[in-house]
Amino acid sequence: MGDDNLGLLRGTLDLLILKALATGEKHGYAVSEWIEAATDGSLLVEEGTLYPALHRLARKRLIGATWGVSENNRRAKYYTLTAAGQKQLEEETTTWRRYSDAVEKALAEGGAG
Amino acid sequence: MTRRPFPSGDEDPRTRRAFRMPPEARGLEDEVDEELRFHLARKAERLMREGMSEQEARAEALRRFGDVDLVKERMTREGAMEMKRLAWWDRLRQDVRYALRQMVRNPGFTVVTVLTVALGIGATTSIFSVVDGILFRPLPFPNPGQLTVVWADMTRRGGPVDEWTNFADYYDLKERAHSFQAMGAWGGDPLTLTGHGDPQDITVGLVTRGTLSDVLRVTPSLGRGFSAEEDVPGAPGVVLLTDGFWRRALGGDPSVVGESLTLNDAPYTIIGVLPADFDPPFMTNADVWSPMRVSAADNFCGRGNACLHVIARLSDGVTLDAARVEATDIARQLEREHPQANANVGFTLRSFRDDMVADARTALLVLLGAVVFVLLIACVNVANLLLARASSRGTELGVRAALGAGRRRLTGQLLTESALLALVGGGLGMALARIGTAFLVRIAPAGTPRIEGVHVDGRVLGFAIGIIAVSGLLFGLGPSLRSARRDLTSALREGGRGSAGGVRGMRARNVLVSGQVALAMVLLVGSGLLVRSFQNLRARDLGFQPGGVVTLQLGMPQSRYPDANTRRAFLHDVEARLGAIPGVDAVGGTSWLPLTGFGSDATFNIQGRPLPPPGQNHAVWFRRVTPGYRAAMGIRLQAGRWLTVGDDETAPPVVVINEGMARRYFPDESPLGKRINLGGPDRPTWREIVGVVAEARYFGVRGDSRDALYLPYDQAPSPTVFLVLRSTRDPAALAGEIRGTVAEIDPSMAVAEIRSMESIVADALGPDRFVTLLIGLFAAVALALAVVGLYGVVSYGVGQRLSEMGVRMALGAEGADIRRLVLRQSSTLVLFGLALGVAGATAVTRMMKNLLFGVNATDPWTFGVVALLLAVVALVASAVPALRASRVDPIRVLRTE
Repeated sequence: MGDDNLGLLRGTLDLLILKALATGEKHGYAVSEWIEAATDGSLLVEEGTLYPALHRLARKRLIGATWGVSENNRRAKYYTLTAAGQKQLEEETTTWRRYSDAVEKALAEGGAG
Repeated sequence: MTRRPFPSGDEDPRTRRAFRMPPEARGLEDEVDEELRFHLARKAERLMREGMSEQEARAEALRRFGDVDLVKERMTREGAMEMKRLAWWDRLRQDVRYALRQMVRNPGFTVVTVLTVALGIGATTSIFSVVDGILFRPLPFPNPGQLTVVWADMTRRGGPVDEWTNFADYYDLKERAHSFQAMGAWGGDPLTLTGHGDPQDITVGLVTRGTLSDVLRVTPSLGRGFSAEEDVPGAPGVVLLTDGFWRRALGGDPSVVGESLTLNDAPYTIIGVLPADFDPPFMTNADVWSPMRVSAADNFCGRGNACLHVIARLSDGVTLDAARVEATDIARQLEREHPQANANVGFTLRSFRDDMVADARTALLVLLGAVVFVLLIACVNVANLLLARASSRGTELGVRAALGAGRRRLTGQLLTESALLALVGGGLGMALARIGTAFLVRIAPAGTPRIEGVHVDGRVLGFAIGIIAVSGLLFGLGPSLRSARRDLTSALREGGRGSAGGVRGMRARNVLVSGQVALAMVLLVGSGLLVRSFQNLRARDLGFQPGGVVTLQLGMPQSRYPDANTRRAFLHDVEARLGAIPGVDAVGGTSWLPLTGFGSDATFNIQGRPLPPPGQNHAVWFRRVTPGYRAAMGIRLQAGRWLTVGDDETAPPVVVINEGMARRYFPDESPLGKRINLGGPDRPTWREIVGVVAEARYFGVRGDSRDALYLPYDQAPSPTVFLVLRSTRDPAALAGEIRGTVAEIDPSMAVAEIRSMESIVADALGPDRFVTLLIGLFAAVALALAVVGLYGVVSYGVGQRLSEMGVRMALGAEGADIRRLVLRQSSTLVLFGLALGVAGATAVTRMMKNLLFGVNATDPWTFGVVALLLAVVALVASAVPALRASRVDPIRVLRTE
């Protein structure tokens, strides 16, 4: 991971967390790894913001949290997507797509001109 | 035992859930710590796998994470806040659920409390909304405080203080006074509109120039206002339409401005439309407005007449009192200048608002008083109910305190219960207020000023809810907390009896119940007095027989009925044809109908007697009538004869006078054969008095009798006439035949206001009926609430003393003894309340004197009946719990001890 990593746009972290959890129950560390892997390491997740975000989503009941035992037998906090979280993920995905399409279109226009 | 929740510390989460405890905040910090530590460890492992040494990996993991402590602190803080919020919600949910359970468990208490709150809020809010809308709501005009009504003050002539004035006096005052920036006059006429479908009567408000634009300051929303040239005699007719009439009759078409309307066969050009929110406080039923087109020089309604309403706008900075001084001065000048007509005539100036509600004021203020009383009773009842409940819950609250509930927790619990009761009661009350206000507006007597704009007042509603809630809290919450604070042992020792609050609570409740009985007594006495005076009014001899009489109004337009001959001919024809309708027993015509409050008056002198000195003229009301009128209206003949068909324009002038006039002017002799002259003494027309009739009430049922006389219509025909038919048939069925018959003679003649005389009588009694009904409703509510209060307290007292009763019975007391014991206690309360009520009612009913008729404000009969009624009802209310007490099974009671 070098300095050419992109910072996260505001609000996209929540979306990525929800997406990460949509693929299955994970603890915080696994979430950060999943994001890194899924974006081929081009997105840098600041861990200092990841955990507060996880807790915030948990308070909004978009994800659930339980203590469990990790693969190497350590106590870890696992997060899962709730039904409300699933719905939120779908909505935000649509919004994001429309948003990025629009920006993309605008930029393409500018490039051609 | 300490007051610490006993399941504390590191319980199993299930214990926490069972006891509804929030997770400990200390645990939260540990959890965050553990979660982050796990992350850092995994990160370090990965870095080691990538080739770092353990030490390097740990350092790198920490570096990449950022400020671990800051993140940790932030997460802990946010988590704790959330937890607090959750706990709060949890507690609220729990409190609400608990309160609901309490409400369901005590359905009697709940229903009574909720109904009390709802009745109190609903009744008081609707009444207050009506009173506020009529009395206190600002008038819909700029600077309404400057609007002043000017009347002729006839008190020094033995007449009313607010008589109509005339054009001569109006113009003089307008010209000479400097206190007013504008002055105008208004009157009204029903005119017949033709050319728009069937001929129809529309009401035309007639105003002098400036009445609308300068006094009321209204600008037409379409077109223009009246100009000076349009308000002179002979000017072509113009009209301003009201928004309602414009939409109703002309479809709201803006292009009608400039077009013409035909009223009484004369053309009127439409010059504009008034704004929709123009809500004139006089002539509220006017369809169109038109200039009066009268000048000071006109003889029509000249000096000495009463025909004109005057309204003025005070100049800026001029007070009503200053204007009065000036008007009085001008009235004195006029007295000197016109000793005949103006002697002893003054001006009465009133603020517009006072003038409008003058008659209704006392009634409305009495109603307002009743509102306060009912609100007080409702408050007392709620307080009483909560107080009784608080006492009986001493044990429960004590136990809860013992189990660790803190004071704030208990307060919150009790507050939730009160709030729920207030919420349900308040919601129901709001609905009641809406229904009640709509009901009152509907049953309000016709002509109640400004009634259309009345609506539920949000502030009042809030106030009523607030005051009931506060009184509930004050009386309900305080004692509850006191009893919960008391030391636990005594609360538990008293066990099932739970008489926490003890003697003090009981005394407070007793005082409240007595006060309630007293308040109810005052309202019931007020209501009783009104009912009695209403009975007196209804039973009053009106001087005529309204049963079976139908009336209608005919207006003969000047254009087609220009002189006496045409009018006489038309009226004779109409009378003859209407009399031929089957079932019609008698037909007569008159210039004025009884009880409508209108009339004409004149001065007169008696032949052979000296002229009265200036200012002490003999004044008398007069009506032009046809021979059939007496039989049709059912007026009793006392002496001499009534008018006959022979008393026509060719016969010697005659007159029939009423009893009052006969008594005043001919106290020691027969008036028959005496001759009087109406009008000026210069060219007298002497009329012989041929008969004396009973006094018919023309000016309200409760009005004093007034001197009046009857002239033969044929000797003095008027253009407007009321016809009176006595028949055995239904007035509604008759209306169609009447219209048809009139149309046979003159198809474009408009027949107005076909009404039964009985409905005119009912209208005249309308305001009295309204007030009587309202106060009666209030009194009924007060009685119901007082009974509920008494029942509650007595049955509660019995419940508290069940074991004592049990012991007494075990020791040989009979059921009757127990019943006596209970009843004795409640009768003490009631008697005390009644005594208080008599004193209160004596003080308060004096205010109602204006509303009463034929009954004294301290009528002993009413006081007695009300006291008896209250006593009986109270006895019944306490007999139920007394009976229960006497059926106590001593064995069972003693066993539970």
